[in-house]
This record gives sequence, structure tokens and C-alpha cells, in this order.
Amino acid sequence: MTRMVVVLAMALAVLPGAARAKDEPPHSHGDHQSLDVDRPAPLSGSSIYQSDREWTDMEGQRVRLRSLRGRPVALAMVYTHCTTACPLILANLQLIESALSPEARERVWLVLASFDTERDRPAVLKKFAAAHDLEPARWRLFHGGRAAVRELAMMLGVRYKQKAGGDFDHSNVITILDRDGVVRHQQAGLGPTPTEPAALLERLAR
Amino acid sequence: MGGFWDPRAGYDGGHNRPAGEPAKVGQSSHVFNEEDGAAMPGHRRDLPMWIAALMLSFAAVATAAPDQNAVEPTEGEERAVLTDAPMVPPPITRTHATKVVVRLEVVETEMTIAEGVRYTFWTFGGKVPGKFIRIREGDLVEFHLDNHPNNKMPHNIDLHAVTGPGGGAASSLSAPGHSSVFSFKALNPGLYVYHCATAPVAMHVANGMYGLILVEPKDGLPKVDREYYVMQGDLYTKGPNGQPGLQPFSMVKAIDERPEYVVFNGAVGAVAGDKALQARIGETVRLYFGVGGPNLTSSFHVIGEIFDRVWPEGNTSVVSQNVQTTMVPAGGAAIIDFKVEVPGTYILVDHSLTRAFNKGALGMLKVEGGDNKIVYSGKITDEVYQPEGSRIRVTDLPPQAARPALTKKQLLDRGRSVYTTNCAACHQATGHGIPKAFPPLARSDYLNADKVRAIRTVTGGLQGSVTVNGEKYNGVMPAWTLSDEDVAAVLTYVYGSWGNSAKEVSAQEVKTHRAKSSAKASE
Amino acid sequence: MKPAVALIAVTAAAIAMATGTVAVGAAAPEDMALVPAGPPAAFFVPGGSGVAAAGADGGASADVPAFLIDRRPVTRRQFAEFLRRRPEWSRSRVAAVLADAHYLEDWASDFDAGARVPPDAPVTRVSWFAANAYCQWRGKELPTVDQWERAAAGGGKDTAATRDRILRWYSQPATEPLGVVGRGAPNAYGVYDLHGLIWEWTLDFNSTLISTESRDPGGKDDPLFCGSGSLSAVDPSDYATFMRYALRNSLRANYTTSRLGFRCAREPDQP
Repeated sequence: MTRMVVVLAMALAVLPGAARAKDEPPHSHGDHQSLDVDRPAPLSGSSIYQSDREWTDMEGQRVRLRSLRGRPVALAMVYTHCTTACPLILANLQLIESALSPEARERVWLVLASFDTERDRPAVLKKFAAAHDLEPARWRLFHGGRAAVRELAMMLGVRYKQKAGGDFDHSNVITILDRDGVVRHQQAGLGPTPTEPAALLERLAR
Repeated sequence: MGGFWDPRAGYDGGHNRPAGEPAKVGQSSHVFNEEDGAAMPGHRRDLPMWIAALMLSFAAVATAAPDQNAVEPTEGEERAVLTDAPMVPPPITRTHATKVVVRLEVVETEMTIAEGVRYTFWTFGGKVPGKFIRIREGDLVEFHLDNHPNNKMPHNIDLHAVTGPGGGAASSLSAPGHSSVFSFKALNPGLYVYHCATAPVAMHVANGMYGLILVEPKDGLPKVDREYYVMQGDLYTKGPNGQPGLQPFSMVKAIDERPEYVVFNGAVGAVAGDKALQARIGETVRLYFGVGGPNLTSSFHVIGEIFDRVWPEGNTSVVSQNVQTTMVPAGGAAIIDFKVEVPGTYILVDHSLTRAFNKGALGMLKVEGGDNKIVYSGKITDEVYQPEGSRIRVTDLPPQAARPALTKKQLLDRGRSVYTTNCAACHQATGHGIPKAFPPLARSDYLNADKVRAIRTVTGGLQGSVTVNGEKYNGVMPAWTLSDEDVAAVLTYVYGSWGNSAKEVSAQEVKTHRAKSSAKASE
Repeated sequence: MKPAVALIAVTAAAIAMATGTVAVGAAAPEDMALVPAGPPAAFFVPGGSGVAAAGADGGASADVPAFLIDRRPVTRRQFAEFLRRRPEWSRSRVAAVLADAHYLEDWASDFDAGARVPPDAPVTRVSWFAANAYCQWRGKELPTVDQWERAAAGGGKDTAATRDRILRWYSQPATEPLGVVGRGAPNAYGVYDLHGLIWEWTLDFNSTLISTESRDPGGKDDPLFCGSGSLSAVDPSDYATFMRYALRNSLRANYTTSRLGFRCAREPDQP
């Protein structure tokens, strides 16, 4: 009995901390001591991979944004039920993809993160990717909770608002991140053909 | 580093920027420190601009000038020289298009509108109007808008010279302590207004956020001796015209288009007295005149001058000649040239006259003659200068040839003109004066009782306490240097107006009774 | 053995409560005011060719449910306490992506706000991320724009006088010393300082999809926004509110300014 109480007490002491971890606001990892020489260098203070939020990819795997670290990224926030601009955003990302040299293409991530927590569950995202022939070796589609979506939009400067009925109004932005998650370029709007982001991504992939 | 990010870019002078990373077209923003204004990231190379320009230059081009300007490649880079009104940067001498870096800092600051009246202005560069920007057709401008950290409000800029969404407004909204950068090519020559376009736009403009940008045509403008920058604006204060203290903005008056002040260069008297524009006889003077608004159109006129050339609406190809009054719309401009032949003080006005004489739309150009320095009598003192307008002191009168006596009608017309120019500022066009400040002339017992005293008052001035129609007034009326005919005309006019006794005053009477020294109220 | 174990258990619970992870009490706390359910104080409504706005139904549809909101903005004293518990948010440790270079610039040191500004003045020079972290630490959230505007409308009384007061505040330069919170009269809901002291962060300030080209009527073919429609302002003469939306529009989440602070909100306690 005593042992159980001890365990319970210890659990009680630990639980609040554990419960908080989910809502833990992002903080700097920049000054974490690296004990292992093979660990990568600390993240830049400008990197969006500072975020600890969890997402789920289209395979159902739990990931953090920093799992993208190591390859430059072309990223946009969309949702699958969107019939107006999001198809164009996707088309722009596909244009970027085809503008890359074959070598560079192997060394980038093309990422779609969905606004739509309710409907764009991983299975839906997987079907969407298949329907659009998105090569899984380089296309990552992410589903996140409301807090994760909000945090990513805040970091990228993306504006959005959920309407009654579940659809979203949102700004149209394509973001290029370097290998360490620092924003290097953003293209707002759908007008211009994405030659500049493509060229940048190519350079970053070398 | 380009794009939206790099929050620390301005903070450490951009040293964490990867080498060779070019500045981007489109919006980028970073933290703005006061040090940023001084330090120019000099290593910024516009690589993609070159690439873009080269690519574009291979495109088929139409012959229209703006289309040519769009593709003309630029050589080199320079930092724009910016000036405060009424000064203008020097004319452009280079013969090719270049990249010009313009840095405008928004500063919210309290300044004076008129004697005792203060207002919190929002400014481009610390003054109203904002800095004058001078570039050449075809130039590529890299525009930095810095919102000082001490400011409270967000701001952006719309330059009428820009061809692009919002004139730059879409790419330049900056929160306090932050900056925005965008680029544009000057496709069309002309004199253009720029202003803040953050909602509510009328409030930002009413608070002083406007200025002029001159895009010189390729061959430049005809050379002149003097160039000046004057801009008109309407101000909407909560308190009525003249009420002292820090005045807040009145939204109601702005929407109703009922300004309390209409001024040149941001304040009553900003272009007058010791701040008057200067020229010498025989010189050609050019005014770059704009109207920031937010609401009123100006009927711009210089009393005593005819505009030899006007490029209306800020265009640089079509000229009007011999113009008396040119109409400049809100958000518009005009380039005005004239040669000054006669020394004296020329009054710049909005010829919607109550704006000039009651609200402050009045400025001065002082023209000096030859080698003789004109000495102004000490009676032109700024402390007597009134918000509603100014007394015009013509100290050098042309010699009066003997003339046939004027008919009554001519006398009255002349009198009205003299009255409007000299007296209306204080006694008002209606003759009602200003309660507690300037006595009425309409049905004035003081005036109607004694004609000789009236002559003495106009020619000699008056100090001390007077009682007019039962009210006490204790002000200073200066002596007027007017010819006998003018005094006679104005007094006849006054006596013939507003229910007064219709006395007539002749030049001979004026000559006889002209005051030798300043009259005292007791006389 | 048992008393020691009990002590551990009690201590653990105390720690849990002190760090705000366990709700204390069921009544509305004294420092928060209840704003009843009601329609949002919509500034933008669909239709019309009026002023710039794109996006949504302008929030004109559903009622805003009842909520609790801090009576006063968060003070420097309160924020200092947060920093002691969460030192990763101190200015020398926070990442640039979460707070710009002006973050807590006027503090004497990382954890000491200094005495030049009164400790009960609202904390400013904080980013959205920092404000959001503080509210979560207290078991609350930043208020949404709808909640904030509803609280600020104060039941719709004295709109002309309020607007005048706001315009007067806009006329004062930001260099004047910042006053303490809670001075002056509360509004009809018992909330202080919603106008005339500081700008305030909201949870979804990035939901105002206004083109920064404020005069553009927007429209369905505006390429900047997806799903946009043109909106008009309910009252285009309400310059005071226009300015607030313009300010929100100019911000990014890591920005800090000398006059931008925040307060927190949460759902009412269940009876």
C-alpha cells in the first residue's frame, strides 16, 4: 500500500508537467548543451523548427516540424475542400517541383499543411496526395490540431479565418525554408509564376 | 536575406545576411532601429534586378515611353537626396536611369499649427509636407519606409508615381518599430503626390502625411533660377480656428469637409515673414505646388504675379501660358514658373478667399531689387501676425503719376480690393471683426462718429482701449503705408458698406489729416 | 513512512495548483469580468463596395458565447513573475522567430522590469508568442478579435464619447509615460483600459484579411486571399475602429511595439 502511495505521489508530481508539455509554448533550443558530437548544430533563432508542436503526416506518423530539417522546403498552408485558390497554390508548388533539376528534386521537401483540423485527417490527406500524383518521396502533407495550425500560421505570417460551415478564408503564401527551417523567401498572391522561389530552392538544394 | 523574415536584420546592420543575398522585389520587413537610418547596408547587391532587367530588355517593346521605361536597364546606384519644404533637391544631371534608394522615416510629433495652437502631426521625415523626392524617368526606386519605434500608429505609403497595386501601399504597411521595403520603376515623368494610405486614409492625410515626388522627364525641365516646394493641406481640429492648446483631430469636421485651418507647408505662416520664399528681380522662380488635402481643391494664385508657364496637374509635356490662377485638385500638383520683375512681397493664396484670410492659406515670396537691399520697416512684427491672414506691407510703391479723379464706383471697387487685401484679415470680409479681438466696422459707432479720426487711425495706427458698440477692445492696429487714394478708397468703401453712414472720403482729406505719429486711443 | 508520502502528495498538488494547471474555485475570479453571450460587434459586413476588406462573413453570423476576460491588462509585475517561472521567455533567451529585437527592451534586465515605468503599468514590447505563452501559463487564452471587440463595445453605450476618447489617444505621441492599469472608469461590463492605454494582442489578430491596400474594395478575384468577398465597414466614419484593424493588419506574431500589450480570457466556469 505504501509503495502504491509513493508511486501515486510521484505520479502526481510528474503528471502536471507531462500534461503541460502538450501545450508547452515553443521556446529556444539554441542554448541546449550538445552532449553528442554527432548531434546537429543548434537551431538558428530564426528557424521555425523551434516549434515543439506535433503534427501527423499522411502516413499517420507523429512528427514535429523539425523532422523536415536537412532539406530545403517549399511550404504552403491549404485545405483539401478549398476549390478556389488552393488548387492554384498546389499547381504553383508543382511548377516549382518541375522547374528543379532532377538532382535538386531529390533533395527537397514540398509540404502542405492543412488549416482544416476537423476534415483533413491523415487518411484524407493521403487520398488527396494520391489523387494529385504527389510523389511521397518528397511531398509531405501534415494534419495538425488547432494550436499547431495557429502557431505555424503565426510563424509564417499567414492569415486565416474559419467561417461558419467549416471553410476557411486565408492568404495565399508559398514559403521557402532553408535546410534549418529559416524562412528565406515568401511569395504572396497567386499572380506571378514562381520562378524566383524555384531558383532559390534550387540554390538551397546544392 | 529577402522575403518577410530575418527579424534581426536591421538590428545588427544586416551582417547575418548571407553574402550575396540580394534585396528582393516585393515586401520585406525587419526591425527598425534608430541606427538604421544612418547605416546603409552598402553590400546589398541587386543581382536579381540585373537579371530581371536583362531578361526584360530582350522583350519586344512598344514605342510608348512608359513601356520603354519599364525595360530600360539601370546603371549604378545612388541614395536619394531628400529635402524639407520649401527647399528642393538639385536638378538631376545624369543622362541615364539608375537605382535610387529612398529612405523615408515616419515620425509622429507635436508641432505648432498657429500661434498657441498645437497638433500631433504624423509626418514623413519629421515635417509637413514630407520630404521632397527627386528622381528621373526610368529610375528604379528601392523604397524603405521606416515607422519609428516611438510612434503609436501603423503607416504605409502610396506614391502616385508608382504603377502597381496601391501605389506601394499594398507592400509598405509597417507597425511601429518596423520597416518595409519595396521597389518600383518610375515609368512616367511628372510631379506626383505621395501620402499615407492606411485606413482611415483621410485622418492620416489630415494629420500631415503627404509630400511630393518629382519624376523628371529624360531631358529635364527648363532651367530656372529658384525652385521652391509648397504644399497645401486642410486641418480639422476639435477646437475652432485659433483656440489654443493641443488640439485633437475632429472626425466629424473632416467628414463634413469643414476645416478649421487651410495652410501651406503645415502651419499658418510657414511660408511667411522670416520664412518667406526669396528671390531677386529678374530671376525665374519655379514653384512645385501640390495639394495634400485631404479634401479641398486649391485655386492657387500669387497676388501681383502672372504665371508665365504652368504645367497643369503635374504633367511635364503640355504647358499653359499666362495663367492667373491654376486649379490644383486634392492629391494633385502643378509646376509653375514665373519671372519676377518688380521688387516687393508677393502673396501666395488659395483664391477661395476665406481660406486665405481666415484659415491661413497664405504665403509670401519676397523679391529684392538689384543691389538695394529693401529695408522693411520694423512694424512688420510676427507677434502681431494673425492666423487668419496677413497685412500686406508694400514698402516700395511705384511712383504715383497724377491721375484724373476716380468715379464713385471705381473708388468703391478699389476700396473693396484694398479692404480685402489689408483689412479683412482682422476686421473680416463682413466687417464684423472678431469678438474681443478686432472691433467691428459694420454699424460701428466709433467709426461713424468721426471721419477724421478714422483717417488718422488708418494712416497712423491705434493702441490702447477703445469701446465700440458697447464692447471694449484693447489691441494694436498697425499704421498702414497706403497712398492717399487707397486710404480714401478703403474708407469710402467701409463707410458705404454694412449699414454705415455712407460718408465719402477724398484723397485730399486724407492728405490733410494723415497722422504724423501713431494715434493714441484717447484722441 | 506514511506521513512523508502524504507530504509528497500534498506538495505535488500544491505545485500543480500554484502553476495554474489546476482550476481553483468555481466562481468568476475577482480580476475577471463576465461578458454575456451576444452578437459580435461586427465592423465589417458582407456586401457593398465599401472599404477594403476581404474575407469571411465578417463574423456577422453566430453569437459570441459568454466568456470571462481580465478586467485589466497584464502588468509588468505579473509578466515578471511569469518570466521567473518560464525563463526561456526572458529576452536574452527567446528565439528571434518568437520575439523581435525590441522585446522587453525597456526592462532593466532579463527578469527585472526596472523602476522607471511603474510595475502596475501594462507590460508592452511583448510579442504574440510571449503573450500567448503567458495566458496559457495562467490557464487562459488570448481573447479572440470577436471577444475583444465585444468586450470593448461595452454594450454599445456612449459610442460617440468613446470614439472621441480614442481619437484623442491617437493624437497623443507614444513617448508619453505609460499609466498604471485600472485608472479611470470601467465600461459597462466592468472592464478597464480597453481604450486609451495600449493596443492589445488577440488570439486571431491574423484573421482580419484586409488588404494592406486599404482603399481596395477587394473582391472574389483578389489573388491575395482565398475565398475573399468584398466587405464594407458598418460605419465608415468610425475612424477609431478602422485604425485598430489597420494596426492588427500591420502586425506579425513576433513583433513588439512600445504601446502593444495584452490581457487574457477564458470560458466561464461551469456551474
